[in-house]
Amino acid sequence: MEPKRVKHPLTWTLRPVLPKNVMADTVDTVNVFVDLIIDRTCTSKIVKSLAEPQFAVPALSHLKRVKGQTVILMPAIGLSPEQCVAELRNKGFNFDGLSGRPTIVPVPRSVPKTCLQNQWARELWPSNFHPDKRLESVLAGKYFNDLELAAIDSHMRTALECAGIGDGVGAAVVDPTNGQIVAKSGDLRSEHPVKHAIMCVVDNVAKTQGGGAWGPVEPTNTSTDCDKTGPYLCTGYDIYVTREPCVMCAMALVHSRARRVFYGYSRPTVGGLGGLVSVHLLDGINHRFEVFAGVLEQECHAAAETVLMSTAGDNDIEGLKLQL
Amino acid sequence: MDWSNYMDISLSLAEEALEVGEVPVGCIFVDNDSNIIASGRNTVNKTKNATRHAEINCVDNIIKAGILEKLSNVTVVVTVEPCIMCAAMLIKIGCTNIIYGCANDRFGGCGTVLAVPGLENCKIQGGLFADQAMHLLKQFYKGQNPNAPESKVKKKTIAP
Repeated sequence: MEPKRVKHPLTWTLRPVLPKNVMADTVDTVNVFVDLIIDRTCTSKIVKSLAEPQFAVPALSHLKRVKGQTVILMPAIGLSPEQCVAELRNKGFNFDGLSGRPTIVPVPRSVPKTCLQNQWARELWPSNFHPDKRLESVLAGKYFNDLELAAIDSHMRTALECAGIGDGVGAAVVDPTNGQIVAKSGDLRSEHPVKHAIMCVVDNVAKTQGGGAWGPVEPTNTSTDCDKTGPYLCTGYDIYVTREPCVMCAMALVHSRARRVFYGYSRPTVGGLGGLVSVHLLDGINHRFEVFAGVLEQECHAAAETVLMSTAGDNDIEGLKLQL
Repeated sequence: MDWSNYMDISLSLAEEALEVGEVPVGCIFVDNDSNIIASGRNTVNKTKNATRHAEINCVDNIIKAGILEKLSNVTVVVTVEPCIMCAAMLIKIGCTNIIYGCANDRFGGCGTVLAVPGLENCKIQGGLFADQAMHLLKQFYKGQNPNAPESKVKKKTIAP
């Protein structure tokens, strides 16, 4: 039999929403005094001596002490090279084998987060860098295989279908262990200011667990001692939403213990997952999830636009475009 | 203005939550004429929906009562600092004044974990009856959350 499924190339590129320091494309530097090793047979003695506590520089412990024939002596903060030599001699450092004429060079302020950053940083000074294999595959766009990407595409299409109901935003919650849609919802904010697609879909998940707060079905099971081995909130579930959630919805997904969030288009001025703020990257939050943007971006944007245009008068359209 | 009497009501709502095994947070919405237009408490465990905080329940009550227009310019009196979700929601509905009891170290959206953008236009006053609000929370967290799944319940470690 001929294979029935035709493989469509994906029209979108997944963008992981990562911390700023991971995405940074410049190397933050700090100045240090370095000196030239003129007698190489002294190298190990010099390094050993600099490893003693009085010469240790905890803020620069991510750096190798030696690069080729130069060695880091100390941070260059408000001292002249002569003062540097005097201070080290005072602390008992022996300049044998060194030129004794330190110079100031910039070195990376912190350990590189990625292989790419390490390449740039190495040009200044080598670090004790260990690549995070998972992060590297995410950055290289190789974290998901073709099959997984096709599933992501398909789940976002489910969310897109919901975008037609209500205010142009749709959301779907998926159990990644079996690919089943647990719940989906459109956006009903024009009838209720809190009924954003995410808030609705989270409540629909609750309904599958015998809870829920928003009709049409009143919660039937309100017992507190029901099955405790069943699903709990959105634990283990992936969330698909056609556009970047606002701050309220982003935090709702933290409260709901979402596993991963995929969204369509970004919203730099109001978004809660990479736009205005990055709720999923905040320090002190008790639950973390991964965020990926860009899934069916154009289709998601078009869906929102269609709904807005159909409900707006001609004069409102420019204003509404800004809301998108 | 002295909001003590209003906070007393929110505290009694929080107590009610505690009695039924919910995180003890209570909240009331007050309009410009000092009328209480909504009251609510946390119902996360009952609804199995982690977003059912006291503030959200207040908004639901206002929608049910059909007085949506009253939402803007509302004063929110809540026993615990609104979380990031609720703070963002309160900005959206046009709340102008937030009075809270104790800070929310884990999720606080009025500056403790994040100062949600937009709050600049809102008057915020924390610390009203903070001890009472905190005492209720401590009573709740002293016991285990009865709705947490078994795998997530921390086993009590035996002292060596």
